[in-house]
Amino acid sequence: MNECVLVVDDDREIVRALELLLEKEGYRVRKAYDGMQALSILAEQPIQLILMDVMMPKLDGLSAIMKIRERKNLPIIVLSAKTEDTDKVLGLSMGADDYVSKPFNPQELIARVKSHLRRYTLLGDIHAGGEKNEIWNGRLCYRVQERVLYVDGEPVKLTATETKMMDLFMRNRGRIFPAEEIYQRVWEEPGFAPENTVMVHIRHIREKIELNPGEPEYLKVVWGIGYKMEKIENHS
Amino acid sequence: MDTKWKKLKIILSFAAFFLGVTLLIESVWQLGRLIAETKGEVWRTESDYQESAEFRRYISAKLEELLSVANDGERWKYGSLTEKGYDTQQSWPWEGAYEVSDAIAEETAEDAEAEAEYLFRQKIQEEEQEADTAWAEEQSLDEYMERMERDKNLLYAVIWNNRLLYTNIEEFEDKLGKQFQGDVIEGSLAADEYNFSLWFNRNRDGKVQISKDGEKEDVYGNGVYMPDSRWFVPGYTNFSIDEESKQAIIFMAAAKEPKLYVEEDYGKNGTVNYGDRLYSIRENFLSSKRQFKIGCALLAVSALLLVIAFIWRKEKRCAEKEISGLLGRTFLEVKLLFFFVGILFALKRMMLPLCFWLLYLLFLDWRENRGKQRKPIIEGVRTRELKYSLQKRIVRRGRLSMLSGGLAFLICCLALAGMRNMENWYFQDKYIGVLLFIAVVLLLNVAVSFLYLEKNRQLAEDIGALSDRILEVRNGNLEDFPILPQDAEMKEVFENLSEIQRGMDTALRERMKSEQMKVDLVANVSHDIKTPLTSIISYIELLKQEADLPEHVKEFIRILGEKSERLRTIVQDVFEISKATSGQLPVTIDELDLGKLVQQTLADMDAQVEQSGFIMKVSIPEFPIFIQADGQRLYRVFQNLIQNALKYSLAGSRIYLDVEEEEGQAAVRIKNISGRELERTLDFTERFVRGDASRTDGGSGLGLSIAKSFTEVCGGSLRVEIDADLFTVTVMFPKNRSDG
Repeated sequence: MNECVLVVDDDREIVRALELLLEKEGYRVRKAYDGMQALSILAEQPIQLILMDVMMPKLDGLSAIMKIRERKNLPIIVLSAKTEDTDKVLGLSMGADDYVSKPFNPQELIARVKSHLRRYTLLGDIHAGGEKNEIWNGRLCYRVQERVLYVDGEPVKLTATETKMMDLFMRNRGRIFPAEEIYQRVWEEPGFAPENTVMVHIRHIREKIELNPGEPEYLKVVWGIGYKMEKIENHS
Repeated sequence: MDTKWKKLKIILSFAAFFLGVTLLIESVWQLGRLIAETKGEVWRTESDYQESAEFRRYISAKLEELLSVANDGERWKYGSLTEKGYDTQQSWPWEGAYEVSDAIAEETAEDAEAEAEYLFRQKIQEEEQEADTAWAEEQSLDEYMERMERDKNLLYAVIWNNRLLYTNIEEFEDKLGKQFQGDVIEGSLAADEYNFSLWFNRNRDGKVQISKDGEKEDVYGNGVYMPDSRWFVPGYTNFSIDEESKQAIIFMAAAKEPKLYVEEDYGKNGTVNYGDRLYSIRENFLSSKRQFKIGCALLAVSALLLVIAFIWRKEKRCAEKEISGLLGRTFLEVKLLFFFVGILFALKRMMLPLCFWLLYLLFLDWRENRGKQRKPIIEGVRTRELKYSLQKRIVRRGRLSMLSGGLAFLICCLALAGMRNMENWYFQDKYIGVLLFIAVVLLLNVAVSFLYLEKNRQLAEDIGALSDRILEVRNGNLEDFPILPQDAEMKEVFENLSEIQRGMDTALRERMKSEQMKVDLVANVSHDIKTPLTSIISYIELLKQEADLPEHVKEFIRILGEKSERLRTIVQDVFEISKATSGQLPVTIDELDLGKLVQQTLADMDAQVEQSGFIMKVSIPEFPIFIQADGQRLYRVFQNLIQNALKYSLAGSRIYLDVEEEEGQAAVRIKNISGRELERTLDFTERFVRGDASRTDGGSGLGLSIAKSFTEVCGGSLRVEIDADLFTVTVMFPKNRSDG
């Protein structure tokens, strides 16, 4: 385990805390306190992942990301105290792979780092390939013929019902399904008050595929209408 | 079948009531009239017309006439007392007779001569007046007697000084002027044809003898004349005759069944009726009897019908309800017009039942439709007028008043023109001045309103513009737009309004600025808090991972972790709420099913609910209730509300959640029994307000506040009601109209 993570933040204490947390997980850490520093470190050393704050002196995070993206394809996770959706969208459109709001949950951040690194290092090439019987969606990959779901390249153990559900969702990413329809198609019978049953299974699946099941990125509730698998474009 | 019968019964019951009442009124009216007219005679059972007072009056009057004729023929210059009714062809013959005989009956005369003279003088006066209008022809005694002669219903013989003066009994006509014994007459008449005979002074005692069907009648009774005595003839102790008149002997005989004697002179005077007096007296008498019988029968029928109506009074009531319903839907003006025209018509024609029914309808309307009357047309016109803009309304009213003035002026002029053509100069002189004055005033009025119409129109336009502008200001358009009013005084008003507008504009701008500053401040502060908080959380995480720490330190770290987590949510909440209340929270409004959303929220919070140990009683309708809202925000609303209920409910109590649809609104109600005593005056939706003033529990105090502002952001409303310990939160949304 010797992936190198670059932590960029003008708050030294945060950088130090992240360094400690990441080192505990076995990563090597490089530190930068502004955008310019980050760019120079990146030019000198091999870095596998960047944790980048937005508001920094000299060169702010978003501009730095744009500069980095001119040459490099490594995963970048934005850390920001700005929590508005517009900030998030802006960050992602500038080329960031993920967006984590401050104050973040350290465990979740570590999980995200792990996930992105695994995809970047292990599966970097497979992304581009995309075989015919594979459905990719962000960190998820569903092999249609084998009916197996991979998260960050690792197969996930799903029950028969959960597999059926994921089959439906992965084949129809972005489409909203009312609970009635999900029940109908998974259990193959009309359901009575299907909302609870469907929700229970969705919660179970979330625990297996989401980094933070409390704030799901993939299996989402469309309130007052139904449920959907968020269609996520793969960067890099 | 059953309903048909019921309907029929309703109709029948009312028809019976209607007919019954109509017949009752009509028959009572007719009977009353008959009784009054005949002075109660119709009650009597005899069908002999000679028993009627009318007949007696006629005979008495005739006797008087004949006496006068016998006495001094020259007094008959102007015709007889009864001549007027007697010979005209266009009016009914008995009308005049009534007048006279009534007058006679009413007089309590003590002397026949005086009475006759009095009447005579009165008559002459009347005749003189009539002569002015120049239609009454002079009629000589001879002409009169000639007429009377042809009336074979009443035979007579007038003997004066034992000489026969006049008679229409054919057998004796050749003996006119000769010495004559009255007794000869009687035997010569056919008793079955003329069953009534009257002798005056037969026994030279100045008394009257009457015999009918061969039997003598007691004419005088106790011998004193009273107003109700049967015969108004001389011979009573207090009603005698002068000595000179005692030279006369009069004989009269009336036919049993009078006939109509008509003479047609073909081309000269037309048809002339003779002898129709007695004939018509009999006909009247008989027809009165007939009418009386019919009236009685109708009365009986009406009583029967009313009994039927009474038995079916429930059905009748139904019918009345129907009618009053119909009345309730009629305009007030129509009703009033109908009623007054109807009443006037009915009174003029003496149609009493119609009067009654109109009053009855009025009563029904009053009884059933009190308070729920249809609005009168005038109100409709008023509402219609409201459609026009203010200035148009003012101009319209001005025009209307001018038009009505002009119309009145025209009518006045027409009336004046009409008067010029009128022959009655007296009338013209009296009113022409007044009318002329009115016309001048009206013309002045029209001229003045015409002159001011244009000015008023300008003023109306200014006022309209002013009202439009006030509306604009109300709607939030604070931009200055110049209007130049045509009226000087209006200009000032406009300037004042502009002043207000500018003031409001500045105030609004400042308020928006301060609102923006507040949001910025909160954003900055929360950012400034977030950065150190990130460090705190991170280091706490590092501390947690530290091995070999003593137990109490681990406990401290756990507390630090919890509190920092809470601080995180509070910062987040404060930020969101400040954005929501200043209207800067972005929302994506979609159509969604409120019931489903609540269901999903509950499913999502399943674990929390189960953990809390509370029982939730949920009622959500089967059908979808579509509203327009931001699902994500609304989920936060219900999440907060349910969390609130779970947190503050009394242990062991139930939490009720109802989704309902009411009057185009979708409503979600969450009710729970509070575990703590609730302070009534507290507004729980205010920021940082909690039921517990000491703030030692877990809440941030922002739950309800967030719920409220998020609901409002989505276009709904949130209300908190407290009834003792019952805490009810109602979230209302306007229902989506597009759903089927």
